Amino acid sequence: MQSAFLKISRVGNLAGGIKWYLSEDCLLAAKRVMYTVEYRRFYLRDLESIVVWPKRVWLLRAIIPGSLLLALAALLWQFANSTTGAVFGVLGLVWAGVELALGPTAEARISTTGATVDLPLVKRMRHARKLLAKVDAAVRVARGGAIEEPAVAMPAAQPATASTEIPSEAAPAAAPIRDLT
Amino acid sequence: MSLNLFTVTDSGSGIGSANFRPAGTVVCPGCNGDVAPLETAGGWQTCPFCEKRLHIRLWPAIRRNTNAVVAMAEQATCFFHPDKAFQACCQRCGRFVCALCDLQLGAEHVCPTCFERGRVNSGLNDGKAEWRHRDVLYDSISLTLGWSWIIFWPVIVAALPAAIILHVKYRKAPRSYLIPRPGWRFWVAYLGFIWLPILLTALILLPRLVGGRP
Repeated sequence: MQSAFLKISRVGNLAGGIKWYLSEDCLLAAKRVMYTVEYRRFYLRDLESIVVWPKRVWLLRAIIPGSLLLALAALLWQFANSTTGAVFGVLGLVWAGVELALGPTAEARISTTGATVDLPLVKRMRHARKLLAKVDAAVRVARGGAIEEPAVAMPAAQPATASTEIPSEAAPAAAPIRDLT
Repeated sequence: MSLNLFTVTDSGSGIGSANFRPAGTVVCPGCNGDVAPLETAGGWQTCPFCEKRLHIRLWPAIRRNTNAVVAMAEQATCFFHPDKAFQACCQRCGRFVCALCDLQLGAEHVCPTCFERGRVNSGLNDGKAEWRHRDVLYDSISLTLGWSWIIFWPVIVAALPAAIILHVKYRKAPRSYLIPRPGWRFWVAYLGFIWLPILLTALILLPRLVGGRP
């Protein structure tokens, strides 16, 4: 069961979620919808940018379930017994604490030549840097080292670098993707 | 989250288009301002316009040459554009194509017709992995059939043969998915059908065996 794809991320939800894979020439999004998996390929040669940012409503993930559990705990404490109330109270606090400790959830925008798609690439912001480094390394291998350093320190009002024109015949390097991780 | 994987937020960023942005910048998702990536210690930066925290990774665009050259006299021409010069040969059907029609899938050059045919007919053949845009998870369907009859037991009459048919017909499917997976779900589905008879048999026979009665 050898696969050319290496799993790099999983962003799950109740409906199934999206798994992200890297291969030698593309970043693959596999979205589970009921009993089907839809694939979308972002070819590394066409990749222009990835932007990751924190979701504005991530705190609600901690506040809403935590508050509901604490409210249930208060009701149980009052009308049932204190032990059950304490158990639910601790559950609520642990839930909120874990969510806060894991940090903000993330959204992402992937731009390729001619298309821009909003898809969650990482679940949490704290994983973004490591994952983007993997994708960056794969892009460099796929383009055969034809990339200059794109991000340079400069005032934000000025462009970072100019786009380079590379003919499509430029052969990708053959280094396996597994070596990058 | 985008519900459709193929939903495109915007397309085209050529000069003169509404989506044009300076080279070396990305569009801030918060305010649509042009943000140039900065070299920071943690990789994080804030948008200068809306103060949104961003992690940006930018790569120089590789522009493919899609300017099909006009064919000269007695020069091979594109099958789809008879006035355009030959650029490549479709490795599926052998048609000559111009730079505009030449679609590159990895190391393979294909024409638009073969590309579309490949997308539509992308089956369970490993050789068609490049075309694959969707897989149906027959093993997961079988697993659901095997266990969901518990909710409404008469369904077992249809669920059991359906699970067997799916297993026989698509037994090799999980290993040929674009992301292969083992076929254990088919077998766990059978477990869903037989656990109740086994349990009932055990409950009936066990007391007799323990009690020593025939």
